[in-house]
Amino acid sequence: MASINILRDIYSGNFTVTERPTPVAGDMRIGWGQSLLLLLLASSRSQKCSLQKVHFLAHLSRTAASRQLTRDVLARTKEPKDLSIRVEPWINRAAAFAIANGYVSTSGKQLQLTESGKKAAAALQREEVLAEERDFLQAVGKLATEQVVEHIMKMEDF
Amino acid sequence: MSLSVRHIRLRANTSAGLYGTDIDLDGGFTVLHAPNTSGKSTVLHAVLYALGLEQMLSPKRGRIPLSFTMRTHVEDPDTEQQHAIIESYVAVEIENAAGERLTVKRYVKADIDRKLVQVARGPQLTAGGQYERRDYFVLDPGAAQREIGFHHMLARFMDWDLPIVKRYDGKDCLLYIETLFPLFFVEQKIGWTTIPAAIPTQFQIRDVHRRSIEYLMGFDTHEIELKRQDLDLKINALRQEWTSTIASIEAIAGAAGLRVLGLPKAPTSMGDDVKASFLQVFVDGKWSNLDQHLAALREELAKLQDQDIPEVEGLAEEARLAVDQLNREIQHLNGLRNELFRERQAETVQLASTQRRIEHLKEDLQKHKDAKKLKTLGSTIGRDLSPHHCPTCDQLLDDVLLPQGTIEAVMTLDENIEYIDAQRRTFERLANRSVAAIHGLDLELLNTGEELRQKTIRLRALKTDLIAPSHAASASFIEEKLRIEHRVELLSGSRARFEQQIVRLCEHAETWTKLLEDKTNLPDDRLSASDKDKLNMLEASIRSQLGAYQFITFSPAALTVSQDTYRPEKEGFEIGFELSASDTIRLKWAYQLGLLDVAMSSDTNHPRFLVMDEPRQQEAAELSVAGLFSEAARVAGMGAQILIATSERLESVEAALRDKQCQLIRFDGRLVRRLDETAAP
Repeated sequence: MASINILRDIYSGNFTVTERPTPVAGDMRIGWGQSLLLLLLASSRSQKCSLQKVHFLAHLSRTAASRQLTRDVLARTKEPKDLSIRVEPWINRAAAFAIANGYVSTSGKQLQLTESGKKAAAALQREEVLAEERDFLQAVGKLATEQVVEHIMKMEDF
Repeated sequence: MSLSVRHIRLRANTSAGLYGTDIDLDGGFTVLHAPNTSGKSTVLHAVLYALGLEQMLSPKRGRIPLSFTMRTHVEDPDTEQQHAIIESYVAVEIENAAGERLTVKRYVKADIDRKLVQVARGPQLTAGGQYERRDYFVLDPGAAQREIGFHHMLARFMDWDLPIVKRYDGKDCLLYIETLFPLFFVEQKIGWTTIPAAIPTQFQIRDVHRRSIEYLMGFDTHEIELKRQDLDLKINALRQEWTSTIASIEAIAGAAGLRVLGLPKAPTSMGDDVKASFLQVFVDGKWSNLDQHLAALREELAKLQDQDIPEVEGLAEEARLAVDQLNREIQHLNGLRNELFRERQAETVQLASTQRRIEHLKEDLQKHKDAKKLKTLGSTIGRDLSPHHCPTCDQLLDDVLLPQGTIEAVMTLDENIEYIDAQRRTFERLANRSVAAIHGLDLELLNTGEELRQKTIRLRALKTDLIAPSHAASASFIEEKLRIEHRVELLSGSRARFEQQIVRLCEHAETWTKLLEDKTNLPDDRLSASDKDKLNMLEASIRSQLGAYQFITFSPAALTVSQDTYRPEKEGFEIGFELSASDTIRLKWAYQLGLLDVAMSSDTNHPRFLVMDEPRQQEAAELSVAGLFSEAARVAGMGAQILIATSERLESVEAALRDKQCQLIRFDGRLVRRLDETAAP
């Protein structure tokens, strides 16, 4: 407190404070988050997924290291306990936007792509965006069935 | 230099008989008129297919650019019944400047390999008869260069001496025929999309758009440009060579615990700068000049060699003192090395964490770049993926997946990208510093380790002296002599290897000087006077045509043709989106016809042949099409062949062609129709 008073004494003239914009992590961007969700659902059976699997894959698709680890666990060269899994609140918000945009529909515990969501996901898959994430999801999406995810979450062998 | 298509034949043999069409061209200005979806494009694509040019349309080999009418089944225009095709082919008769004719036939559906092209040396389609026949191949590697390659033969027939150009991988290849045809064959699928032309890029030819125009228009600059490319590649290769020599010099020095000073890291033409570099050696805790150290060592060695080997008796006291001194020194060295180890470990941890940080930043940067791309993608897939407003309640949104309002002001994507990039650069500098620091510490560890080893050996020799019988020869004296001898040998060996590399570097410096000289000697002005004349003529032709086509976006007088890219420009800026759709099409007509116009009065490699499929493109006004016909008639009047296919209203076509020298070929329905027995098979 004392130091603030000293500063106030020194800066006695007129000065203004401009708020600088704050940087944000790339995966916190609305467009990025929604696209990841669309790609994720598109890679799953019947284009639908439980919330648990959505959180599981969304968290693990974010970095090269976690993607590799997931591949290893699914290939059974590493154990489920090696994976750190988090529930990402941003995925819920991305889902809310995707639902509002009409790309995703929800039925209680599940998220599913709508017809326009399927088209949007197909367009994303064609473009060179989120390429690493897309390749990862296409490779593991079908392997990580609801049952497998359940086992991994419970740290059981599968 | 010319090419002219004199006859086009399509044949499809079906279960219900023979179908097909024949189009005879008089070699001047021809308008092929038929309604929409009647198969005009199929006929024009057939020309490209017969000439093995389908890679002009799609990079995929084996994809036939023809509609189902030639591939699978024919729909009879009268009965509307479908008949499966048993066998089908296309054939064209072409003529060159010398009046020689070739008939080129290629099967579409048949048991014969589609890569085969059958060539008869004569006007088989128009005059009939038997001519010498030979098979050539297309699409396979070598089709452009080998004797039995069809494109090799076609280029010779057209009197084209195709130049060798550079590819992106630095290798040489021919300027393939497929990269030239789009400049005078505007087909409907992709032909209208770009100016100068939709030139295929799959051949990986550097600056292919420029190279093809330069060759087609016979620019002198072509040679110069090829030289320039060659020099650039050599310069890059030398840069790499230089870096690898520097790396080996540093490896030689590092292995002997030496360091190099004054070495130019990037290529230089100053051989003296290279020769001025020198080696340093770490002695008694500091770096000193290797040559001086070597001289001192040699002097010491000479002194020892002059002496007789002393007996231990006289050295006992001296040896005792030396042992004490050495013990202290060894202790000190051990302490120092411990400290160095710790420092190195700390730096390694620091480097690893910086590298992790860089990795994260790279990932985040990629995510932001993706987010930016998504912004533009949103408009093509319907709803915006990163909306500014809430899709439900329309409130203003911050572009962040946190509870709205958590962050007062969110950085925009561009700012954020810049911010991450700046951080990445800083951390990369930090990482480079750490790498250099670790390298320095490694050198010190190596040197102190070697010093420790030497001192321990010396200590052992001195201790041996202390317990030896009094008349024995001094082991420490012999050890010292051997040690210095060995050291001199090691250091002078490294020095010699260093010198060898410096000689190599000096040679590089000479080559570098020569390359830079060659580069300076290339003319500043890329284009010769005659090249500029041709460009000016092209500019004038385009401007006058635009006037005739009612071009409205800006005054045709403001249009120029870039001396660099050869694309049309306005006030020095490339013309892009500001053009209306119809003016884009008009400009395309003017450019393509302009190239031909220039070719009619100057020496170029243009085949004096132009095809335009459906120039109206649903965009340009009827009035302008009349303008195009009149310009085409003018240019064709000078001796060129121009073929325009259109489905414009017949009355307006006839009105536009009135009083003009033109062959009008009309089809009321489909071009491919049932043929009677009198037709050629």
